[in-house]
Amino acid sequence: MTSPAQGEAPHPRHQPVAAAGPKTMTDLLTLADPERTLVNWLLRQRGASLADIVAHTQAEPAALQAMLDNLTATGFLILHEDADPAVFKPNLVSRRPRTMPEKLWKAVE
Amino acid sequence: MAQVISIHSFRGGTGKSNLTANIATSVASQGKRVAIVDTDIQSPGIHVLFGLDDKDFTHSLNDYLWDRCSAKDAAYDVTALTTADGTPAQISGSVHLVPSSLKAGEIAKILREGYDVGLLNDCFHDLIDQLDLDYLFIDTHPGLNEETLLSIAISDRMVIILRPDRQDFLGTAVTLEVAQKLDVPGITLLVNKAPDIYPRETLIDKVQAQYGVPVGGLFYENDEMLQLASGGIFWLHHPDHAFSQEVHAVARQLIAAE
Repeated sequence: MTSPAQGEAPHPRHQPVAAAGPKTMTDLLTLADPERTLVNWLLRQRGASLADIVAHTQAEPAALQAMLDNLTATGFLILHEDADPAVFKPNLVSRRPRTMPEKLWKAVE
Repeated sequence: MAQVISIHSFRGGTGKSNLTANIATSVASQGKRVAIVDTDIQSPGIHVLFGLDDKDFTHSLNDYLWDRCSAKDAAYDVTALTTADGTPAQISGSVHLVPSSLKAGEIAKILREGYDVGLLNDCFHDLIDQLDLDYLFIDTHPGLNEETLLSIAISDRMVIILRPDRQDFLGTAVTLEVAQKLDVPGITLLVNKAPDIYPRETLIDKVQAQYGVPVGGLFYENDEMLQLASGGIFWLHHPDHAFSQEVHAVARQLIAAE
C-alpha cells in the first residue's frame, strides 16, 4: 500500500473493472432470484472459483456456466484470471458520485 | 469465525448509534473482541459516545477509502471507558472504533467523488483479521443507500431499530423486504424510545405479528438518557437501569446466536 505524497490529493483505491460494469448494489436488487442469490453469496465469500460455485449451488454445470457468463457479460461479476484457479468476484461496488453545481462543492471543500 | 452485525434504521433519530455503542460495549464486557465501524460518512457521530474528539484521531474511514492508511491504522482502542463517577469500567474484552471524518471538506469530497463501496467490505475483513475480532458492528446511515445495502448484504445478522411510530413501521417493512432479497441469515428488531404507556408484551406482540421477525429488545424512553446527552455509554453510567439490563439481554442474545 502506498500513501500520497505530502500535499498531494488522495486518490481513491480502484479494483479491476469489467467492460459492462460495475453495477451498483441497487442494480443487484433488480436481478431475478437465482442470479441475485448467487451474487449475494459471492459477495459474502468475496469471490469463488467455478469449482467452489458448483459445489455450493449443486446446480447443473451447463446452466450454471450460462448464468455466470450472463452475469459477467452484464457487468455483475468479473473473472479474475490472475488467480489460480480463476475466481469470480462481484463487480457491483461503485457508488455514483453526487451531482451538484461546482460552486457549491467548492464552497464546502 | 467473526460475526458481522449491521445496525440499521430506516429513519434518523431512532437512537441507532447510541444502541450500537451500548450493545457493542456490553458484548465486549463479556470478554469479546469487538470493533465498530461508523459507515455513516454523511453524518458521523458515534465517536462522541466514546469520548473521542475529532482532534484525537489522525486517520478515519475516509483515509482508508483514499488509500492513506490501513484499516488497523484507522481503528482506535476505546476500551478504557469510565463509569459515572469517573472510575475505570471493567471491560474484559476490547472495543475498537473506526470513526468517519468530521471535516466538512472530507465529507464533501467523498460525497462529490464517490468511492468504491466494495472497499468497505475489504475494510471490514481487514479489521477482523488484523484485530482478531469476535464481532464487527457496522453503524449505518439511516435509510437505504449503496453503503447500507452493502452492509446488509455482507452481514451475518442485521439489527433493525424502530420506534413505535407509523413512519418507522412503514420504513421497517421496506428494510425487511430488502434484507430478505439480500439473504441476510438473521434479523432482529429492537424497539426504542417507546412511551411507557405501552405495556411491554403488548407492544412486542404487535411488532412481531406485523413483521414475522423476532423482537430482541424493547427500550423505553427515559430521562436519564436525555440527561446523559451522548456523554458516555449509558449502561456504564446507569448499570441498574432497566435500559441497561435490556442492553445486556440483547448482547447475550447476539452472543448466543453465534
